[in-house]
Amino acid sequence: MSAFTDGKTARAGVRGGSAWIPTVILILGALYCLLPLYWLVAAASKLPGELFTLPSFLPGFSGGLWENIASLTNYRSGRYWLWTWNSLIYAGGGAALSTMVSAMAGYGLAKYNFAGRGLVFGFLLGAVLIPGVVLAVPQYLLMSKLGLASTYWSVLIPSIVSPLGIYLCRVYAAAVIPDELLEAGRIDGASEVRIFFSIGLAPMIPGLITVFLLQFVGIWNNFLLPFIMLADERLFPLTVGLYTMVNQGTEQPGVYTLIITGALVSILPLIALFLLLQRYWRLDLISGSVKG
Amino acid sequence: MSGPFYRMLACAGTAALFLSGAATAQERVELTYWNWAPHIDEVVAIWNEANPDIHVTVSRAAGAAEIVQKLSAAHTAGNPPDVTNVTYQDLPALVVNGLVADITPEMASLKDQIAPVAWDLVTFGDTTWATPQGTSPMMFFYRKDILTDLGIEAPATWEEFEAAAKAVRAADPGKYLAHFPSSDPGLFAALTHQVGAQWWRLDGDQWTVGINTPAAKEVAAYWERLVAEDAVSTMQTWSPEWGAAMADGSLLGFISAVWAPPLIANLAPDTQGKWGVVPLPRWSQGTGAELSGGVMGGSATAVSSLTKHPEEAKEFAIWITNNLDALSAYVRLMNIWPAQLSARDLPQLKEAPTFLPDATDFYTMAAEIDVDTPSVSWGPNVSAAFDVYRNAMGEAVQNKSGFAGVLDQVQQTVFGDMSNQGYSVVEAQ
Amino acid sequence: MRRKRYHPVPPITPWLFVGPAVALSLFTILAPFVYSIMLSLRGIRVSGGGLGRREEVFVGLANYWTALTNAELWAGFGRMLTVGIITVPLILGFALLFALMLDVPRVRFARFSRIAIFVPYAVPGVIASLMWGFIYLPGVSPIREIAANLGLPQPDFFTRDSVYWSISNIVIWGGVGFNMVILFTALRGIPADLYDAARIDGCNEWQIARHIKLPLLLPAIVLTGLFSLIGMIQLFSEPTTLEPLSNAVSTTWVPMMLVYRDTFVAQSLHAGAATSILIAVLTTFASVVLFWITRRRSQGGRT
Repeated sequence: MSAFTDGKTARAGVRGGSAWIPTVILILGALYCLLPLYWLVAAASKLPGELFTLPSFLPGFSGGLWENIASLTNYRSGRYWLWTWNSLIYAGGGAALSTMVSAMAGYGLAKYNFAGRGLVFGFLLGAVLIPGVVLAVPQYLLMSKLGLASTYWSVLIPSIVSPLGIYLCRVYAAAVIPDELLEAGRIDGASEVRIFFSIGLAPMIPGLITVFLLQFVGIWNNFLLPFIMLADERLFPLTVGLYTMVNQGTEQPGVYTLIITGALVSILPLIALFLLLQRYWRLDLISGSVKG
Repeated sequence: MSGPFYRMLACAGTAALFLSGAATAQERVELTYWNWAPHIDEVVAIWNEANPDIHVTVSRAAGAAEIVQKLSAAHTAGNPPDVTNVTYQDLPALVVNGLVADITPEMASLKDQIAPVAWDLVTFGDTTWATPQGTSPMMFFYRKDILTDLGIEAPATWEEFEAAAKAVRAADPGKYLAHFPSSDPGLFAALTHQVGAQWWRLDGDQWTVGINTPAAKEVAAYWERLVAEDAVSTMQTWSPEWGAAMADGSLLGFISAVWAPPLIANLAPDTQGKWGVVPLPRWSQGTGAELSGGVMGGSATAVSSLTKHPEEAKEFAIWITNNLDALSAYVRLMNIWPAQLSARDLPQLKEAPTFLPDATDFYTMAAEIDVDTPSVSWGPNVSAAFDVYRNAMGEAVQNKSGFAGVLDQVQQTVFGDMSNQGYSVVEAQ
Repeated sequence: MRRKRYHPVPPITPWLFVGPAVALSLFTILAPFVYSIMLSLRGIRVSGGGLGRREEVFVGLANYWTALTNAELWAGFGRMLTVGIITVPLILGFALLFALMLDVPRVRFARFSRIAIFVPYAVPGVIASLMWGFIYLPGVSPIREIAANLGLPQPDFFTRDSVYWSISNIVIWGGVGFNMVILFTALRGIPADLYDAARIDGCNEWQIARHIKLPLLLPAIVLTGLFSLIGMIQLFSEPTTLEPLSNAVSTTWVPMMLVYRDTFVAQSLHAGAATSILIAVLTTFASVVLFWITRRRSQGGRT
């Protein structure tokens, strides 16, 4: 059952009309979440001169949105789109590597009983408790020592280990991979690595997609790590790029509409990703109610 | 790879000024240059056009606020920019961290051509660490159209400024004459320079810290009164709130320096021609009545201590702050008031800035203000001082009291920090 | 678990799988942590006259003493806790409320609401704070504009007290959806025949929620609560983004901002390292205590 399976169909057949009070509560919640975003859309559709003069919740009708996107594209010869591309590299590459490492570790922890297993698992769980901010500075210094600071790797490498991802993979692997299948593989004489790739991995895929998405969002939204690691604006992801735009201003008039449009455009890829992949969100993993 | 031969010949005139046997490289030298200023690419393009064998790429890796942090980071990582812009107040921090190269020999011949106020900001003891770009004659910009409607004159003294601020409030409660931003320690430091405060001073090896002088505390008390009586707004400069107020005519003035017009133009393009300008108001009596203002912002160009092309980097740094073509573009695009004295005769500096077409005496005014600006120097822990100021002044503005105490806090922090680090330092009294 | 071994798994094999994760976490988590501890024992002293040159020297526990006696650090913890006390119960409360409402039979627009409430999760903290910053700021605030049009008093989002709510609101806005989905998914995992049995016994929907759903959800609530707490310790982007906009947020508003200030703005890496170790120790200790308390309680609550 996916996280987004519709409640109505699953619980159909209960007597009575529509449940209005819960509906109203949910609509209010939805409005609270969407209104600020609607304001962002309305503001992004205004020309720089209209931003502070038109009523806030009315969109501009003078083609402001296209003009703003054009200025965004022109901003330092397309730097904004370079940042978007970087964000995709960090989030996509980081999440892919992270999912792979988590899948292997989760599988190893779930399917083998070995000396040091408890220690490894305890260490990884303990790591959840150390705030990322505490680690970011010494991580930066170590990267500097290795000559990796201000490279793609300086952001990618620290994003790979995800204690939560490993935990989820362990839970999921334990639930969905039958030991009998692995034993059958062993009888056939397959190597352990081969068994993992040919037998273990396939049933884990729905869980891995969730881990991938969680990591993707986490890295996409991360600000502090790239902010500290990167000294070259051509390597910035969107969050850091937009932040510097706010702090440095630009030579173009209407910097506020530019920032607002930039903010709006920057959140569209993630929303699209959510809507496209919502079937694959298996957040039941997190609450521990996994059923194969 | 070198450019076509004829172009090398064409640019030889410009290059020969500074080339001292450095141009042995047949390969094109690549330099990176950090600068956050708007339009800087256009100035650098002039260099690239004239110097095909030394190509400079602008990077905006850090704003003025983060330059020390980002430069140290890049330095530690071993890939700092070859040349960087740096605000005067951050230069000492770069020096003590060993990030910038000593350019004393290259600068020696230029000393007579550079405004003393600017020279003192880049020279500590006998060593020059950067080449200054401009000075910051302080001015008060105001909405001439609206003040005329309200029948209020532009203030020449701080007493008149207070009266005008209150008159604006009385005439229209939706408007303010000016704002007092707690997040701008550079502005407040400059306002205290005007009464003779020397936040840092270096005599030989001896530092003197003088932030909470009695005269500076009187300036603090003046602004506390204006804030407490709601005569000035307390919005923060560069916040969207401020931008909107500058554009919609609810904020009628801006205490700033010579480089402000293009910034106002970016925020409020529709108000072109509606602004007037006067020198920063003066104190009519007491300490500092003879001073026109202080050192507010301004920047210099420094060369990295790690650059692989020190000769070319120094050449470019000196070019961009002293060459007349570069400064002419700078003036046109960014309204700077050059530190290089010969550039002050540029034809653009005889005209009004584009955004203030009526201010035909703009640069004459700048020259006069510059004469009465005191020489100051910044110290090695400016950013710590400014950070304490932001937090303490933010709180004082919320409380509408305790402004003078802010200066005590900054003084204690700066003095304590410098003693701890092992500087030979005393407090001014 | 009984496992018949036809040919025994060599002891090195499990490490093939957990090896990359272990190696990487040693490099990106343990090593930086140890390095921080080393840094925290050192300091900068200046030698040479004038501007001088900075040199690193061993200073023992001096940095820790400075950090422990820094009133700003404790004030920062106080502000962090205040935001936590506001946000954690509200995030969990709203997430639970919305999850339970989604689970009510015959609710309308459930799919739309579920997605709408989840959407802020896709907005990075920095971007959300920028957006809310505009919405709060006098002069550009749509809320103040509406209040003015209706003749209502205009709210000030940046007084020393209201700023706690302004920052908490950004955190809540971004956090409710994710937790709601976790709780809702957990709810969907409860077998439907439990409800049918309850209905046959004459329970109404409220009683079902109170006596069946809530107790069964407890482990998931504890887990989301822990996530929210960890999020609170990491509070950084929101106040950092709002700081330049108002007088109400200082550059040392929460402990992590103090670490950032010390390390990068004040150029004293070693003081920053000591403060961050102190924060890590305190928060790890607090998290472990909380974890044990909640675990024991939730296990005690389980039938």
